[in-house]
Amino acid sequence: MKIWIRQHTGASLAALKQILSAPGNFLFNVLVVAVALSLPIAGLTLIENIRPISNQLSIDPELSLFLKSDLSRSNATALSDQIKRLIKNAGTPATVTFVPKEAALSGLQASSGLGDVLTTLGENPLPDAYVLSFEQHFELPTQQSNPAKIEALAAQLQKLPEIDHVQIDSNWIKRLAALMHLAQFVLIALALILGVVVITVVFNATRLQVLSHRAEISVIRLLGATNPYIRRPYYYTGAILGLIAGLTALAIVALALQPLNQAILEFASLYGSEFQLSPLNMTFSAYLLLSSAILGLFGSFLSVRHQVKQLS
Amino acid sequence: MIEFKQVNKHFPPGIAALTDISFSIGRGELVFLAGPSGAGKSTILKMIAAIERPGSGQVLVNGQDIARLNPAALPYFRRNLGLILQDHALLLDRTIIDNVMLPLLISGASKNDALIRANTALEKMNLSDKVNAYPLALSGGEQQRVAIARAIVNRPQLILADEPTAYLDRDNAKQVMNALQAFQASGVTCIISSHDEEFLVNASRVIYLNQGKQCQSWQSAA
Repeated sequence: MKIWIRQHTGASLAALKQILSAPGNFLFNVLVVAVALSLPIAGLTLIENIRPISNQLSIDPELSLFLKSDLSRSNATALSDQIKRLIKNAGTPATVTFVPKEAALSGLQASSGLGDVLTTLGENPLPDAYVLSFEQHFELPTQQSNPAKIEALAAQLQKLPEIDHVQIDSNWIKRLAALMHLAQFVLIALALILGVVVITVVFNATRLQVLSHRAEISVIRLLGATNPYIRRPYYYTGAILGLIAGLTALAIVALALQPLNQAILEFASLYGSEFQLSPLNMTFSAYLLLSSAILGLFGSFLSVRHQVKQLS
Repeated sequence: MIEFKQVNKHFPPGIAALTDISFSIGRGELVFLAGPSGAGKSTILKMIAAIERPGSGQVLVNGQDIARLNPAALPYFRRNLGLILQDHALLLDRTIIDNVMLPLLISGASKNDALIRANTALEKMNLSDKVNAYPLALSGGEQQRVAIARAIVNRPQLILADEPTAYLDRDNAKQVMNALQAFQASGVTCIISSHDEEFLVNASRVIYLNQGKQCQSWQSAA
């Protein structure tokens, strides 16, 4: 065990010595790998920032029934029974909530950040409405369980003379969920492709290193060095390259967020939001660093095994 | 300790490097391999070190057929050898002490232990004042003595020296030969390839080779 620790310490020191003997080459390789890693890390940062927002959104299918603006309050509330009957006939259990236009306006003032603008309008532009919340749930990112029934009900409700407009509220959430799902797939594909790029860069860097130490490898082999002894410093160099490139990529993304957040903040403030992109948390970053170190190690592993075998 | 049994070796395209070589060398012997360039001296040393394998015949080292040596066992086999090559084979980007410590570190010795033993080996070679120098700052003779220090630092049972005095002046060559004879006196088997007549005249045993053939062997009565 002592010898094992000693040999690994020696190999890691030899790797550092190798890096310091040609820092320019090493930094160039770090930069290439970091740029390749920064793309999936940026995508991941974006998804991790959007995910909490999409999770907070209601994913229950809802129908909003906007009543005609000239409909009296008594006629509006009387419509409830007719709506419930249609729901029952459609076989889509749902809770029916009447939203008076006053409540809708105060809700809009509170949530939109457009309070000042709305008060200047003088009279309430919103109609009375009903909100139908169905008991069936969407399962993100899969399709809703019975969308045809809800759409048929929406068509029936639209025919009622008291109703001005029927809106299926869950559609845009479904689209967002589908978009998020697609983005995740694209990100995974991108990460895989760029992972291969990282392995290739490390493979080539290690190959050149081994070739430049060909004479040294021949000598230490004559002195009784085993293949693992010869390979170990290159494994450490690959892992260190991956680790530093991962750190650099995280730093590149964190730096890029600064100007991007300024633009996002300006845009979000128009909607009364303070949304900003945050860098990945410590745990996530640690996993990414571990992954990039493993990619570096794997690239050097493939290269060294191949090269040392050829040299022997 | 070492036995060659009807060993043949051809290099492509069919050049005979060794033809029907047979001899044996006992423990603690000092044996010279003599002959002109291309006689096969280096090939014999390389076969003993398992760098080359015989085309036919057997090379036994401590009873072990080197042609049947498992590749994984090869490094451990070489740790019992002290190899001195004609071109010194020193690592030019490492100091003298680092070069001499290398076989010990490869064998898993601690850095402190390696440092002490490497210093002792360099002291024996009268190189104590050069420990922190780099090989290229040393003369050819000094480099050769560093190579000897590196070969003996692991206390090998067998030293193989390929033309150790080839590029040395008379004084340096004598120093190197005296050092090798001192190791032999302490029980280490030494096999030296050389064409230096002065050393061969005083040698206790010489195996002469010419064009890959063993043409004559001579052993002193002592």
